[in-house]
Amino acid sequence: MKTVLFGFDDFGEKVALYLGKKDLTVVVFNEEEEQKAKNKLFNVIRFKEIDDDELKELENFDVGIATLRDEDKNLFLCLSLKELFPNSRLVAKVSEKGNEYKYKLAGVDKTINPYEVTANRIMTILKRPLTLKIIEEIIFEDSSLSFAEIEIPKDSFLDGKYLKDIDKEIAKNYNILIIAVVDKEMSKNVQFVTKGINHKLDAGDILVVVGDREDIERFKEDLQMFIGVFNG
Amino acid sequence: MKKALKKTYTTFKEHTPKNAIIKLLIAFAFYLDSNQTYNKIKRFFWRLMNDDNFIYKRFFDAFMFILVLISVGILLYDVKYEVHPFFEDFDYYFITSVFLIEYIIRVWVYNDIHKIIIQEYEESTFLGRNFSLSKVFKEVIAKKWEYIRTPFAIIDFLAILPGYRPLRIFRIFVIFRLFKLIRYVRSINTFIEVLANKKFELFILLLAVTFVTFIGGAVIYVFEAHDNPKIHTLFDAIYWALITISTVGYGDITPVTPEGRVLTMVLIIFGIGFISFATSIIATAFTEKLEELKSERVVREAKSMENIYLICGFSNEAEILCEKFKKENQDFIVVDLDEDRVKRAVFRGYIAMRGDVTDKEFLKKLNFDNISKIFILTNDDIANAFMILSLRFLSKEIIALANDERNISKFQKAGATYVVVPTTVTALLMAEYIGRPITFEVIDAILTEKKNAVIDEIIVIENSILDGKLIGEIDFDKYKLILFGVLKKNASTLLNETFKLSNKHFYFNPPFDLKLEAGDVIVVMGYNVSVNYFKYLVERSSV
Repeated sequence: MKTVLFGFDDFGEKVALYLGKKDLTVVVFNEEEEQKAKNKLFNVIRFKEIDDDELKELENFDVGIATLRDEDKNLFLCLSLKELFPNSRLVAKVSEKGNEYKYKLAGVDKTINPYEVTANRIMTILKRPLTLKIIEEIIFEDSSLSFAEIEIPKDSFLDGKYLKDIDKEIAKNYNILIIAVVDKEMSKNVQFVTKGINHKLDAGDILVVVGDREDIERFKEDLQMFIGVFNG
Repeated sequence: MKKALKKTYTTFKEHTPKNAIIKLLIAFAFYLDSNQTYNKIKRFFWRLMNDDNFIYKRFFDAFMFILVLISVGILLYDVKYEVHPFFEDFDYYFITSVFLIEYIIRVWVYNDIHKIIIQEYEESTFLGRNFSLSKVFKEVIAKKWEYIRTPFAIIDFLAILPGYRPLRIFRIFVIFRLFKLIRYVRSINTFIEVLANKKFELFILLLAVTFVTFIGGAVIYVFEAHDNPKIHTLFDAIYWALITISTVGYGDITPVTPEGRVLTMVLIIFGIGFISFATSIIATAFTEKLEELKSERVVREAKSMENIYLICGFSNEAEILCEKFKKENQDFIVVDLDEDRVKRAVFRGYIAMRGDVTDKEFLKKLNFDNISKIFILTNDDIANAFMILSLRFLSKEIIALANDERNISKFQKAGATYVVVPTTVTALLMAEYIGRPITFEVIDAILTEKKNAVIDEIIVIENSILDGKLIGEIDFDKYKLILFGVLKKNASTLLNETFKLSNKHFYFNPPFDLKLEAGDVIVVMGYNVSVNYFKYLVERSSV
């Protein structure tokens, strides 16, 4: 997946580090950031300003990430990108809560507000230290617990089953929890199982699970292994 | 204390009446000093009179305020009409005696006489000289006089005088009772304080006005005393000069000679100058004091609250955090160095003030007894570190923002209880969106606490529906919850713990046969309504 990251300040740099260098192009608008990105051996393009003629030079990409420091420039960048590359997905950093809807209007697919995430973390520290620990365990990759997306293969032992019939068994046998489902029959959005819907699982549906990485791997292998055995 | 008394007896071997009195006096002074009830009562009255934060003072002030108004009302009514004898007596006896008692109490609580006696006693035994009764007496009088000659005390004293019946002339002193209002109304007090700050400028102004008035009066007297039928004495002339210079210009006395008119013109120009000068002095005095007054008000407001959060730095993160605190009715104060940011906080209706928490003087103003947690949230790590170090001596929980990951350990060493790095999680989240958009949705929902994905912890309360149950016995499905795990006090030998948290053991996805005990914590996920309902059930069942 070709990704373009716009902006390389502290925040942009961190995003770049998590993304890795493969398929990533960093686009910067000032010399300082260009130098910084070059030093870290990223693939860098420098533009003078946010200008359509310049932006056109970019090759088509799958996902664009707008993390410019100035909110107005970032917003204008998103607007320009959406016009030039209407088929690419676009994620943007929002600095002020009141501006989220402006990004939405500009056609941005997803906005992330770092300040809100931080404020939430502080609230969690105050109210629910245990929850914070769990969330951190799950999110940060170097811990044992993690999230995984598992697509149900055709004719596997989950194909055609109802969620409520199998979730307890899976929790017991594999020590993983199913917390959300993408049920293609209903919608392409994620739905949390706590909504209480007894989803019928079909091939192509996606389960979002939490568990130990090894357990998740074991579950995935088993799903592939027993294809056709149960529905046979 | 007994030892001290024994010593007293040994110092005075001769049994003269004077020594007996001194001995008695010293014994009494020590008795008072050690008597807790006496000190408590005195302290109570001191606070009643002087401590603005004392709740009873407000009642007392209101009561006195009303008494003054009644008293002045009676005086004004009495000018033209006959006052009912009941009110007359009420005014003379009751109000006056209340004022008298108040005056006596104020003189009493101003300082401690017994401390003077004790000090003299200690000094005399130390130096081996005789106890000097006259020195004590002089000191007591000097101290009390120090209070009696303060402007407020003089006003109080004059306000009592109208109660002295034989001299009707004293009635006019009822007006002084109006001045007493200053004591009981805080805003008048601040007004006077503000003006007192400009004492020097106002004094210069007064001097100049007096000077010009006198010169003007003298000149007009010389020119017109013979020509002008209205100017007879120098007093008339000075009166005219003041009326002219103040630009009031009644016109009862007008200059008749050309010289007099020229002088009038000059005086009027001076007058306009003086008035604008006076206005600007007072205006600047207020603008200068405004900030201080504001922060004083903030501090006063904060004093009445309990369990306050102190937020240092009104950054973007702080802004959102404050919104959340407000929603939860959590009291907090925002302190920031930057005027604009303080304004923004005030605009949102928060209690905010400008100030530097690394400044000792500023810290003194804040009352840290009722501050429970401190948040250091500026976007400058160097400033954050400095603030952590400055506030650590308070030994409160400090939650700090580290804008650079590398500073986490420094902040922890400096004394922060928790350190949060703002960019890490969000950056990770962004990266997650590229790689796994579905997982991203889930994490995003959890992190931003969308209503459909709340992770929350529930304490197993003694005798509640959870206490003593096996995990399998609780139908989490029915409550539309997912059980994430259990934090147990005691380690289970059969299970592998997922991680440890403050000496407790966390088990992810616990088996059906794990037993819950009071004090354990279960972690569930679900819609916020489901979680709240379940919490409610647990709490209700324990009652």
